[in-house]
Amino acid sequence: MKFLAFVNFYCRLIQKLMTVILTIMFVSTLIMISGRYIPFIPPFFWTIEVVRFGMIWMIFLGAAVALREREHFFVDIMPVKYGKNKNISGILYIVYAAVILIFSYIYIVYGVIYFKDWCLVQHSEILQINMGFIFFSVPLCGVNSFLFFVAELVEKKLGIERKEVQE
Amino acid sequence: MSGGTIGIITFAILVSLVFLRVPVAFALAIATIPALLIDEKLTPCILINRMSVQYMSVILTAIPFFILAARIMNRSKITDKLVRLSLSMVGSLRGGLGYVNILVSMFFAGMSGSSNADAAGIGSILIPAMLKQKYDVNYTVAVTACSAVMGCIIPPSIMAVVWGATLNVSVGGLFLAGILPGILIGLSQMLITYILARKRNYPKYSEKISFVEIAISIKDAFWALLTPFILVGGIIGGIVTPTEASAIAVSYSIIVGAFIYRTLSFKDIVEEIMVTAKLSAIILFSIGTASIYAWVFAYYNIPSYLVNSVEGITDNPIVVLLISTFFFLIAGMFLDAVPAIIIIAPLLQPIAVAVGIDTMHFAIVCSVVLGIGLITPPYGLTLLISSKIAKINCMQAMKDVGLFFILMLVIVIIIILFPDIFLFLPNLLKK
Repeated sequence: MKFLAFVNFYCRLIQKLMTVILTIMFVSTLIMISGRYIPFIPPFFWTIEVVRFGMIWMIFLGAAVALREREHFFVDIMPVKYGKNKNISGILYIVYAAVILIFSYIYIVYGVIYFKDWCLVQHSEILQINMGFIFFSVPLCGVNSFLFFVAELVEKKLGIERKEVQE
Repeated sequence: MSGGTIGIITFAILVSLVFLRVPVAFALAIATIPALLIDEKLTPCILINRMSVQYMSVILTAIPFFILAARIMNRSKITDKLVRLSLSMVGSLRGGLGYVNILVSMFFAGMSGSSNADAAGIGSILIPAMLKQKYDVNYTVAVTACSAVMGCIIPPSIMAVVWGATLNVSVGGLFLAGILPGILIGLSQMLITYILARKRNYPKYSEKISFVEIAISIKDAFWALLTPFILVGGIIGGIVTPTEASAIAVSYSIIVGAFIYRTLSFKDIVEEIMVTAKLSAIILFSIGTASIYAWVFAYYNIPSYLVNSVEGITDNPIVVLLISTFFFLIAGMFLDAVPAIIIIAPLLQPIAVAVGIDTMHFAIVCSVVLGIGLITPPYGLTLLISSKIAKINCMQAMKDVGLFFILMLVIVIIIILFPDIFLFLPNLLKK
């Protein structure tokens, strides 16, 4: 199905992007240290903002991806015999779905308000970047969560099983 | 509506959502929504705002870097060299592999900040080896899970980073504070191994100590063993911040893995960065949602309610520390250490300060208790990881885990009663 193929591609793309972001954060931190201790490298102040903003993007992108792969920590205190009961697992899924939908709603609606009213009007201290570039990640996290949730519903309908993983 | 009522409602929503298997990070965020809607001065935008404020603290970047460093060390088979070294040192004792398990965990704890990486890396090598030598599976799982606890107590430690970032305590000081309790835990576990090995007649790994083999394996593991000294030395000497130390740990592990031991390829590094980015996004996301939870409590003045009510009952520091221990033990059964710190510690620390407990002392006690949380079911991560590797249900190992659990509680009580011994190292940093 084209929709699922697109979502899978998009999910992989985000993970590649996160890899790039973490690498940039790492290199920036190294530049920060070398700036202090290696004489011919000047101390760069922008590095700290690159690290901060990179981390924010990485977190909000990653939170949605982890939702798709069911990797967020959850606690399993329900006795096994209830966990296997179809009715109960149905109810659990409805609760889960409600939480994800409320979450996506808040992140999209209030995320856009936050982006427009709190962030677009500010600039970062050192790099003078518009803070909107950084916190665009928030409503995007909401959209991604919603998209991945829809993909999960489609998969359920088609009978494609996704495993719950917990590391 | 009074602050107390709102606190209770928020907490009740959180507990019921967690019970219904909603991921903890999301349960935390959703539970605060009613509290943010009730008060006219508040808006759900604060949820997002508080998360972003939390993420502005650069110290949190230490988390992805420490995870990455630990994963790269596992990937480049540095763990194998540590196992070989430990085998040469304690392999000839009765129950040799049990000691090896503890000793490797101590070495690894000094290089990585994560107990999970410790349990996964060491468990996948030593659990099969121990089972093959006919150790009983309960002890095997118990010793792997419990020795991995040192990973988050012996510096560097991700838990200390989170504690420092949340409660404004010096992370360098916390690192130093973890050394002594960590070593004590290791020694106490060796004591258990000594007793059980005699009682159950565990095998020796080798017949006698070979000093040649020790010398060879120290030389072989030399570059890896240098890591703790670089990290802790750099932080104590004021040369680098904990965040920078974590980045240095990554570069050092890449250099050692790719150029000295040549067991790490470029593709390995890229893969590990990808997994780390995802894992740390999960942890950091739950730090963010937990911080809004703590903020809502602070907004409704709940910590001062608690301080007042506890002051009415007791002003004895030891009793307050015991109460905190109890709360963290319960929290540790159901939560990961990171959200537990962010939700509970800001509530308890004001009480501790009010009765005159040093914040560092409070931090050491609670960190060790949270370490114990890693081996208490239903949600004890190192226990879950180890029993998964051994392919048993985690409850099966509980009888042996209980022994380790009791000894760790004894250590907590020693720390509570004799703060001066344990505060000596972190106080050095203050001078």
